[in-house]
Amino acid sequence: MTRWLARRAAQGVLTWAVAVIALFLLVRLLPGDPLAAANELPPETQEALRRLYGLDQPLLTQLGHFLGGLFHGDLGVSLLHGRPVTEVLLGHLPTTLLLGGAVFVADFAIAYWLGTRLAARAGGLEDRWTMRVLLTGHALPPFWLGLVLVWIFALGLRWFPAAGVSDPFLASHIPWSGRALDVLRHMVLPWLTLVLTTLVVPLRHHREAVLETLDADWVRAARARGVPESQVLRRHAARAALGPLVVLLGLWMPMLLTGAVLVETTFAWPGLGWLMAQAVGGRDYPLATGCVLLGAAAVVAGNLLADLLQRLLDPRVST
Amino acid sequence: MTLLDVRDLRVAFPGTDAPVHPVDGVSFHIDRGETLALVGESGCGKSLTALALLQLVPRPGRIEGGSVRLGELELTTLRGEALRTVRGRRIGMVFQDPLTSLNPVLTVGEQVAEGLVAHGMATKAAAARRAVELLKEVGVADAEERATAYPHQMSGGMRQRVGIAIALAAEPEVLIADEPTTALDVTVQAQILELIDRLRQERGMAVLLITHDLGVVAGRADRVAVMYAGQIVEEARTNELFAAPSHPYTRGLLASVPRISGALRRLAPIPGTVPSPAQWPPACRFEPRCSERFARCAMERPTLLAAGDGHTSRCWLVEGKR
Amino acid sequence: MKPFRTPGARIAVATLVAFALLALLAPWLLQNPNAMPDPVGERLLGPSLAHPFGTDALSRDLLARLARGGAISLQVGLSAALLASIVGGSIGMLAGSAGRVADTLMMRGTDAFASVPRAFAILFVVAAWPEMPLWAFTLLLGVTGWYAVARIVRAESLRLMATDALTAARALGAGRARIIFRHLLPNVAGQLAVATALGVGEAMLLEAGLSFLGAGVRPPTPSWGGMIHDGKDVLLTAPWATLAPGLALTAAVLATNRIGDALRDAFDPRTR
Repeated sequence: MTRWLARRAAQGVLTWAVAVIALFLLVRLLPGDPLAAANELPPETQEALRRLYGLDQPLLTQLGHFLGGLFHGDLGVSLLHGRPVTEVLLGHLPTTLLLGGAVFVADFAIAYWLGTRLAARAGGLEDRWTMRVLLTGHALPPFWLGLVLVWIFALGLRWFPAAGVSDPFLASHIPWSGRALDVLRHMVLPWLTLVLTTLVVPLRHHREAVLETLDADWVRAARARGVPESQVLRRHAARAALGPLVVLLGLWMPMLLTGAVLVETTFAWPGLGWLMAQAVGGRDYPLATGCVLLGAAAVVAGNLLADLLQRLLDPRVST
Repeated sequence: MTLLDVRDLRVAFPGTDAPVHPVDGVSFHIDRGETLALVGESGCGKSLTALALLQLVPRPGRIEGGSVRLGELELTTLRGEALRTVRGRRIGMVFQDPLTSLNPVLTVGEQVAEGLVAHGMATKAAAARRAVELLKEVGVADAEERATAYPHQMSGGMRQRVGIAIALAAEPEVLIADEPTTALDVTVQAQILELIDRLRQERGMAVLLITHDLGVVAGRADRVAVMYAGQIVEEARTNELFAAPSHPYTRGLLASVPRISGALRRLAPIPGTVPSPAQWPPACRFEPRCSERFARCAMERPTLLAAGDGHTSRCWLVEGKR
Repeated sequence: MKPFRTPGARIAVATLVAFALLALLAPWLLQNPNAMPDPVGERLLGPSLAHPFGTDALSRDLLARLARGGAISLQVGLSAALLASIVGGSIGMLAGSAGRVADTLMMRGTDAFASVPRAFAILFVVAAWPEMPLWAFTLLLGVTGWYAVARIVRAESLRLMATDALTAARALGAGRARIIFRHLLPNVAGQLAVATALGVGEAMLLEAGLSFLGAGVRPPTPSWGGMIHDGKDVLLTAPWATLAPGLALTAAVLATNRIGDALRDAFDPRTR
């Protein structure tokens, strides 16, 4: 197991490294220029910046510098924030983990519970309508759904705040529990937006997997020995159908991050996605690079975690 | 004394034009402590018959008619909880392929204990202890340790012993064994059959042994029912069936069984295969493959005719002989 | 055609045909989507006979912009999905029919590309090339969308390579090209069609999202995402400016997804 983990982790790092190098080369080969934002500056300043960022060096030297910096955790200085990119990224990581984690847990918990339930009622009224509603949710543009929810619940009903992660005017004597509640209130709408637009993917996946296991010989065998139907469903079919859901975990991170770019921007939720959009809007090329590297690392880590979970859950793989 | 009495059982599946009946009017009975063998080629409907007894016919199939009586209890109309208390508790079932009929993500001990808990016969802890005893009883060595193993970690023969332990856990009165040895090595087959027979004697269970292999039947079954194309075509005591088979299909099956003793002879397989339920001939269903057919066979449907004491046969030849 | 027998699939096709017709007939029926006849007096008008969907903050007719924006969205989505299927299908079939080493290399490469979330990859390129034209944007959408297709097609190709038909073909000396075009392609065509249809909706949503961020279709060219961006500033006074493009986008994505599902039901024997 340890050896497998080490091999798999090394593979993950390699995957990430290839992605990083590919991105680096792609951008350098494009007709654009990372310093395009500096177009209005005097030519001397542009030259100076070019030298500063090593853009006058040959491509391979640039790559070497870039990788060298990366190795030391040095990703350059953010133009927008005037601070090291690593510092900016680390500062926004908890915000994105909070929202992403909450969405992730909701998506998979609901998918497991509801997917199992719908599989047992496949073709029925509840099954058909739930799937219809959630499939429609998946077709909604997340940023637009966010706006509509803001319109209804923040601007109209005033139930939840429209944007941000906390209330800046909250009195300083409020205890931590009040502050936590405030953050949660801010999180409701972005969370709901992301869950509504993504839930159907794992749900449908799990529902189909359970449907398939319900036809398995060993489900019939369990019924033949008098196991109650609720247990046939939960203990036998749903548990054995967990495999496909875990595989999906690995594919989840890219989807979540792509959704996060739009939804975090809509709700001014200062996470990784918001940061990325901000970096691109502000032509902050070093920060954008940092965001992409971190995003790719998250995806690789997600894959690794999914593989690990799969091994832990399925006795056929782990022993 | 009759324990399980099956009458005119019909199982229907939707077909392209009309529904088809892979089990089409099957009747048999089993007495307490007796073994009845249900024999036929694959596709004849014998497994489906077994599943129908416990209402386990896979969708979209359904039981269309007939009755299954266990003592005084009619099983075909049972629903919900009432049906569940029969499954496993009064009728246990051993499946053909122990690999696919065991849940891959539960330990074998959990699966043996499950039936005991489901029928309220033991608490979870007591059921786990009982599961180990049961595994010992069916000949699993190191039962304590093996109880925590997963199905894929065991050999085929061991898995089938687990399957038998599961079926026996709740001490059923009837044991249905659906081709229990087909997926196993030849050397293991005899051991498993011995085991089932020993347990029958110890517990006084009735056994319905389903097989495609008449060789398995000799010496183990009291009576044999031969099934072809959804119907029982011949039924007799085992000795009589082997000595004086009356239906040409039974004779064909016997001719294709290799024998160790006796004169060396050619094995004669029956030409062709069982047609699918949608293509069954209207009169005698065996007629197209039969080497002894005559004009009447293609025109008139034979009924089960008496061919001796407790011996019936669905063949017009029997009528000619009398 | 068989996949389009269900009412849902027919409505889906009808929806897309309606969008296409609207876009085609717009030049005759509607005003110029960028026309600003009276920049002050006709700002943010509610729905009326002259402007069925109202006007935006620059007093442009929303229906005209909706029609034109839809045409662009559908074009971008369709081209990107087609490109993704061509790239993914080719790589999948090549990997599936190549030896183990080449297969592993190609799939590890795919993993590497797939590890960069699609929106991040596109935004990153936009950061380095802010004045990216529409064709390059479409291309970028396509070349970031093929990973899933490649994995599906590879798995199916591997399965096909192990069949007797292909073993026989190889024994008879069939070359790589023949194997791919005669044996693999016809068998994966169904799955490719499904992936393409489902890819259109995904690409349209992403296009709208990036246009919403100002990193996709550039103003003044109308796009649904851009219209939602413009509308959000006047959400309280003119909600229709946000609602109309969002609903149109949802309808179009629902339609393409529904067609994808109908194709899947038709090609995948398991769900039949």
